[in-house]
Amino acid sequence: MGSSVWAGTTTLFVSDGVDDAVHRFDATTGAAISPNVSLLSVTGVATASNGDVYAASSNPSQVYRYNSMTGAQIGGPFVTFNGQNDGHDVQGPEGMAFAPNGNLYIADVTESNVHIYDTAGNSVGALTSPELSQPMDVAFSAAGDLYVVNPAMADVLVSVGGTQPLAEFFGTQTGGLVNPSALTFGPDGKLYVLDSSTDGGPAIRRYTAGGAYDGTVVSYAASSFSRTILRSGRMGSCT
Amino acid sequence: MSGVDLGFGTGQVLRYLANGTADGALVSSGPSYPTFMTFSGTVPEPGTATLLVMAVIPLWWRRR
Repeated sequence: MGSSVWAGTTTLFVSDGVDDAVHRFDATTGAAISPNVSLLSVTGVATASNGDVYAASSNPSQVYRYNSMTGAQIGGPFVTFNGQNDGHDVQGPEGMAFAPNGNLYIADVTESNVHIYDTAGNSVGALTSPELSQPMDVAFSAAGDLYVVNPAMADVLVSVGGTQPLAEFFGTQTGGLVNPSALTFGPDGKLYVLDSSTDGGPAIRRYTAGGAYDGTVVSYAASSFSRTILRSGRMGSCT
Repeated sequence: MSGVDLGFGTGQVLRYLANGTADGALVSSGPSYPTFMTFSGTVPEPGTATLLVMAVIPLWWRRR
């Protein structure tokens, strides 16, 4: 790994669709970092392997690139909305994640697919499945497999390498998922899924790499809230 | 927009350790409607425990 560009600073970026901004915080202390990144109707955010932060907007449906240290936008839109109905556009961007090869995967809640863009922001296709409906979030495992949270079907789908057809991660419905809305991989390599609405209240459930239910990690009181977003504490190295 | 815009509500970023133990709020106020989050670099782990996940919670939804 080359010399770090972070100088010991790690930043947490939180998108905020009401403030139309990406808030920045010191990931150690929680202190706010000014200024925010202003972006109308911001949705998903993701960090590339070089440390640049990408944020999606649903109005228009585009993706922008930012310097993580300064918050300054880098160039024009990384993914542009061309309105040509030629398969390039993501219509309803939600959660995003970068593949090991640098391609950007975006859950498209409107088109019910996962759109893929190369390192230049060009569309290189989309993953679809009859089982996929209104996906909200995506994550890559350490092995480079893509996982997609599928709220409408109350399950999680997986694509080996992010290139193979989407298939059900769970052989049977285990772990009591009702309305999964977010997912992430923990430092233990296990998959953590947020279930926003269960009979007992929202919960974070854990699954092994093989898809076996590995218990409920965190439970919240019923009706205390209805949505959270999970992210692992480890996001890999940066150079 | 200022560094912290409380808007009509505030969100929290909570931390949990590998055993599921809550490790408090990293961010106790700030976002009005937090939707997604990401980190630049590697997030420092609290003490010797392994940081598991961070969860963003819109406070105005928690108050419903």
